[in-house]
Amino acid sequence: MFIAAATRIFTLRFKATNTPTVNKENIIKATMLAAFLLLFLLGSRFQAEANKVVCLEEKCEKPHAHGELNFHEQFPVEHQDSFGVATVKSSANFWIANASGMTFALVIAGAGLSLVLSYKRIGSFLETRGLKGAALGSVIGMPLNMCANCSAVASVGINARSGSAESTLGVILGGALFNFIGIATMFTLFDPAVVVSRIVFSLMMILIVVPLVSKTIVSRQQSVLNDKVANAISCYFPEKTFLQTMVKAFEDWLILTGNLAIKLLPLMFLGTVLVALFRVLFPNEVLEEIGHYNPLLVIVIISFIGTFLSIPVLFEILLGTVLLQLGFSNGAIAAMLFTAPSYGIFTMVLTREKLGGYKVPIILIATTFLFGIGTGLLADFLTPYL
Amino acid sequence: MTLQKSIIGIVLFAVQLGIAIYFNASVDLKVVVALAIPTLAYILYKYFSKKYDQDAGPIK
Repeated sequence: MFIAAATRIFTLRFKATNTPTVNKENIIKATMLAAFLLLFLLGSRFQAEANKVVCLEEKCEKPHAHGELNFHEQFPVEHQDSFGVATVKSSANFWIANASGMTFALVIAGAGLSLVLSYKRIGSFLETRGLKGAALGSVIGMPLNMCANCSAVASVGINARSGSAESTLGVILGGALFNFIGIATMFTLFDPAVVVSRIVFSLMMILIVVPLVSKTIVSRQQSVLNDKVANAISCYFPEKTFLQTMVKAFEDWLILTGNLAIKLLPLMFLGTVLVALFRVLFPNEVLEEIGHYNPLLVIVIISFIGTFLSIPVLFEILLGTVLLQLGFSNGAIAAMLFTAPSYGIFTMVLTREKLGGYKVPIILIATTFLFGIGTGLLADFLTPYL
Repeated sequence: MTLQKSIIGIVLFAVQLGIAIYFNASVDLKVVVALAIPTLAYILYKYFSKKYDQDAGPIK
């Protein structure tokens, strides 16, 4: 879908300008972006997702090695660990679980931004606002196969210059909530009511909440990137040969990747520590303790935990299976499946600057929490009918 | 942000790439390394030979 959209954009013609619509540089950069995405998906992402499905289906060879997130962790957090040690271990586990995704998020963001800076038409495409901007963003986010954390890195990077808030949030939420493999896996594991309610609230989040909250941003043009280096990327050199243009495309890509890395890696580190702190404060034991509470209260607590819990791609399904095994209701499972992969602490840290401060991120976190409760209630309501 | 900061960012990115490869030695990451090393060498060559200054802009 993404490639089809990119192809369509390339067929559009500029009017009243001397610059040709498509030049060598744009073609090379677009090919490079598509190649990086395919490399990521075919090289490791599909395999990693398949491994998670094996664990979900209880065919894993080392089920005893499943850690806090019900998946293999490098540094298991033990009961006797102090708060500090547990936080450090949890941070390391989170970083390692996200390592490939985050690295490729930077790679893809560098390639995407390089194309956006060279090809103004794509830049204006990403500036689309309102419902259309959010929908277009989510369509770009879907094939990334990344969690909200990694897609936030990719999205903030690609939209760094002039992309709209709607497009930025659309990419993040589209990638996190509309992962095709994830949705297909959910249908095989959970009650249809759970998956249907998650899809309904995901659509509402992207198509209603994102355009509405984006309107509250005071400054219309939030550029995370506005410097000499980026300005020099958007040059056009028709006299250069194909080989010279290719070298320039790689040079632009790596410089922009470095440009984004120095800005985003410290934020990613901060987001990881905050997420780890929350994991240590609310370990899986909390889930076991609340099982016998009032069903509505359970959904509220699960929504709260899920909202502040940032997880790598498809880990929400692993957490959903934990809840299923503990005997939780469909509502509680649906609440976790919606809130855990959605907008959270990590994405808040990453997008704060792009969204003009903490106001919009806080509104989005509060909405995620409320929608989590809504997803849970809808799932419980639909269970007898589906 | 100057080109110098971008180069420091590339070094940070290289550290992240190294961590990712250490824990998941997948082929896609190795391809990125194979592309990034000569590109970084080329950028450093241009940077230290002051070619970016001669080009009247950091990138050309």
